[in-house]
Amino acid sequence: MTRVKQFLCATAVASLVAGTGAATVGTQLGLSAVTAEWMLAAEHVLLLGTDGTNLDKILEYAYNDDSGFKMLMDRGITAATTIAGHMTMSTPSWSTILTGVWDDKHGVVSNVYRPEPYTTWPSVFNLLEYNKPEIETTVISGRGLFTEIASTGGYPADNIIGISGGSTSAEMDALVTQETISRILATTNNPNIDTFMFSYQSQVDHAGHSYGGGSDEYRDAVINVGANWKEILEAVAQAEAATGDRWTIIAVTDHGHQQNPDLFGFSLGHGFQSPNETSSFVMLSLAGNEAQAGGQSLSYQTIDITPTILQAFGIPMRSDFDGVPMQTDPDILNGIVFPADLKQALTDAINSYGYPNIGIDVMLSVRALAGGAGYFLENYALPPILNFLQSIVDQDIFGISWLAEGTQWVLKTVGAATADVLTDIGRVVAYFTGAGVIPPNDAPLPLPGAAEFTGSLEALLADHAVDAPDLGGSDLSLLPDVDALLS
Amino acid sequence: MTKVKQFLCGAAVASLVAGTGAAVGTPAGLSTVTADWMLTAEHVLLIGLDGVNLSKVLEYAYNDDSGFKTAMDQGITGTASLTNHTTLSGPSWSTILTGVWDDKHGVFNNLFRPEPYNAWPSVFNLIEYNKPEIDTTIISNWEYLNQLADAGGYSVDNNIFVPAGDSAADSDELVTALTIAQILGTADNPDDVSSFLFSYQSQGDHAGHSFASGSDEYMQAIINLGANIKEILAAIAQVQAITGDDWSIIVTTDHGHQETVTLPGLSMGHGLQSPNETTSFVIFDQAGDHATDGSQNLNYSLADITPTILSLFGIPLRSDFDGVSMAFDPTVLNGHVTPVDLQQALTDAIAMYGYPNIGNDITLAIRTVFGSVPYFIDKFMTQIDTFLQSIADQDIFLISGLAEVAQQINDFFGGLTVSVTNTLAMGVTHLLGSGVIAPDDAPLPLPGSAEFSDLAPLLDIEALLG
Repeated sequence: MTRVKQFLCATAVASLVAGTGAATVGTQLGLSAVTAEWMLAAEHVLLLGTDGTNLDKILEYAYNDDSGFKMLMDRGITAATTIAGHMTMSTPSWSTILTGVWDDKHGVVSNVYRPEPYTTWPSVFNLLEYNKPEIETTVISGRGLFTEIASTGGYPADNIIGISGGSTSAEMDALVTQETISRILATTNNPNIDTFMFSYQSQVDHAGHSYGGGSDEYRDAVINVGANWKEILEAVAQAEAATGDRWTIIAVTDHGHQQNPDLFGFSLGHGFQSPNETSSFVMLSLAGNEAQAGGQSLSYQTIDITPTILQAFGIPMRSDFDGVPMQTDPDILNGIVFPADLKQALTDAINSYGYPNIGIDVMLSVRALAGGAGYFLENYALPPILNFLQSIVDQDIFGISWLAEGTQWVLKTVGAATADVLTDIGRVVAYFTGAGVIPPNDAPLPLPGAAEFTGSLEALLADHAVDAPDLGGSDLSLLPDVDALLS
Repeated sequence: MTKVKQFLCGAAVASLVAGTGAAVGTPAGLSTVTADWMLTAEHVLLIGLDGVNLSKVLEYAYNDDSGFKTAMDQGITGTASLTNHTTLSGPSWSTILTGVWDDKHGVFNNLFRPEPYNAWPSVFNLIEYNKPEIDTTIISNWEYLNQLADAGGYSVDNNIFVPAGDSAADSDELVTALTIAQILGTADNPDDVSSFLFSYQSQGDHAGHSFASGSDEYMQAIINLGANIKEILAAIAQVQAITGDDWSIIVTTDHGHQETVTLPGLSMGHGLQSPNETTSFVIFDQAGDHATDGSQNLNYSLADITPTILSLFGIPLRSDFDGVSMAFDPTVLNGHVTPVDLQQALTDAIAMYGYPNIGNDITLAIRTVFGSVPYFIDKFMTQIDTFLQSIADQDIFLISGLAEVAQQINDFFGGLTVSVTNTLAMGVTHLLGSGVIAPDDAPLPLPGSAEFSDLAPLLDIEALLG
């Protein structure tokens, strides 16, 4: 159905462009023309992101009717998944979620923002806007990573809403929630435009960094996000009732959190390969799939999210995606189960996950360490980086703690090591440990507008080295608190 | 139902013991039974397969010619993981047959010692102590398990060891034939005696050690085992139609196998912590439960098998079991899922398993290296060097170096003895967490004055096959 409808849409647009074109210019940015055939119902995909949220804590604190987490699980299919074998840091992991490829391809290894990975491996925003510019794409989050990713590449998102204000991350999440709701409700009085919206909440990760995953503060943050999502889901229900539009909702987190803080007020939280850190989840409520509501998948992964979003809009897959569309891949569909008790079955699945093998474990720890050092020095100077390293030393992780101690000694001795140098060292270490080593199969997206297309891979990669150190600092350092940057 | 019936049984037995006591049964170790209990008997069959990867079962034997699929279709299948426990047969079968992990039972290699089973009684002891009227049988072609069943004060009623024969496949066929004979024997059961039968087959593990689990030989072993199980299940269906007895069936394996051979003709196969080695499975078909046939459970564990068997006979569980009853425990029952496609859902569940953390990974590898030295000296003498070489060749972080050192020590001393190295290994493994937790429950009381020592002569196989 979806495909047929989308096909109708495309022809309709083509004919209109050739024809009148005048009357139908949309009120909002980036809209294309629509026709009566297509106006029967619009297709909406809402991606809800919550940072650093352990599914076992959701099941413990928010598996009840006051929580949007349970509403979404009851409405869709839930999977406990893992990112074991990949970096458990926010920017690498969100990059996987928003590009459909793992870090051995996109090569993002730290929270220092660089645009190059997303010009080489286009984000879901670019893929949507390039293939179907008529879809209205929106990102709503605090300013930083997501407003950057959404504006990178030749085909940025239509609406990039960087929320500012709010004295805490909980207040900022509340503002994100209000903005998300108003945009959802706005679909009730638009001319059936398809939309993709990414709405991101950060307070759980902040609570994890400050107090650990086992803290009351973390519990409260999980409950808050559940309450926020409940409001958002109620707005979706309201819009659905008013328009008859189809809404597909996907929820995801980028990584989990260690149980206990390492240092008071400054927890490493995540970055290594323990199951608490590698634990993630995917919830998918696919429009029209009420028959499987409340089910569980044993195979959804975070790499499947971008392919799934594209599939919902009938956009063809890249050949070099690591993920597959969750709504059509036969293996994934066969891996759906209907539990006697969803909470217990998800708990059992979470308990199944372990560590990667020793080699990968050590390699990823080295990468996290190397990537983290430059990030901290660039954003904070020396004392926090020594704290960061101390928190690793204190964890007594085999091999890695010695390495952190060594790095700490070097920094104390050399002192004036620059962020650029450390970031570059981090990237070199990352490359040699397997990050960003696989180039794309597919051609880069053509540059918008002009015929000129110089974008050879070599040229793009050459840009890398020159631009890399500059790009994170100015914007990111405006953010108010330490935890936000760590996330 | 089961519980009530067993309760009736207990009361009936007690009253009869006080009363007549005349009806001494024909099979060894039976107690008297009454008319209340004679409606149907309760049978539990545990099929043990050594070193079988569920992924290979799904690849080669998930079809109608295979008893694996028959068992899955009529029961519930769960993947299970040995992660954080030694992936050797002795330790792992000890967990299956005692209901506790190696941090309690302390078995660390394949050299039989009776002590662990005195401290942690086997399922045979627990049944024979609590309900001596149940007819217990082991049919096995690995002598360790026959010794295990004989250990403790309340040993198995019928202890049948099947010799290796020309090949492991031949030997397994003999096990199958004996198992079928035992099953069909329940058709002529005028006293409706309940029974527990453990039937063990080894060819999967042999093929794994000689050729690794990626080989055609391993594939053939899996197919053979599936055919054997199919015959066994057909015998149960046949006898069930005659007697109406309850039959519960459990199928399990002790560990998996590495995909590729480390040295030709002697693959290390297992003993370390890769997911291929740690992945196990449990198929559980509970008598009378058809509502959940062909489904999956995400919670089964090897430690659950002994508690499950006891619960099916209405025998109380020990307080210090690591496992719980798969038939009655609410958490396990809530871990039950109905898959769109069982084969795919099991494949997904297998893919979830990873490694233990670095510390445990190394600790367990050291245990395996130390524990294997005396075993190899005892069994193969000349092959110890090859075994250690196979570890050294795998280039496993730290462990390969350790194996090399052990090799040099062995070369230097020439003939280390079993007892010296085994004592050393016991010390090392104990320091590394094997057998460090003592039982909570009191040991089983020593059997009464009536001397039980007459179990030594093993039963005559020819006669049993009839």
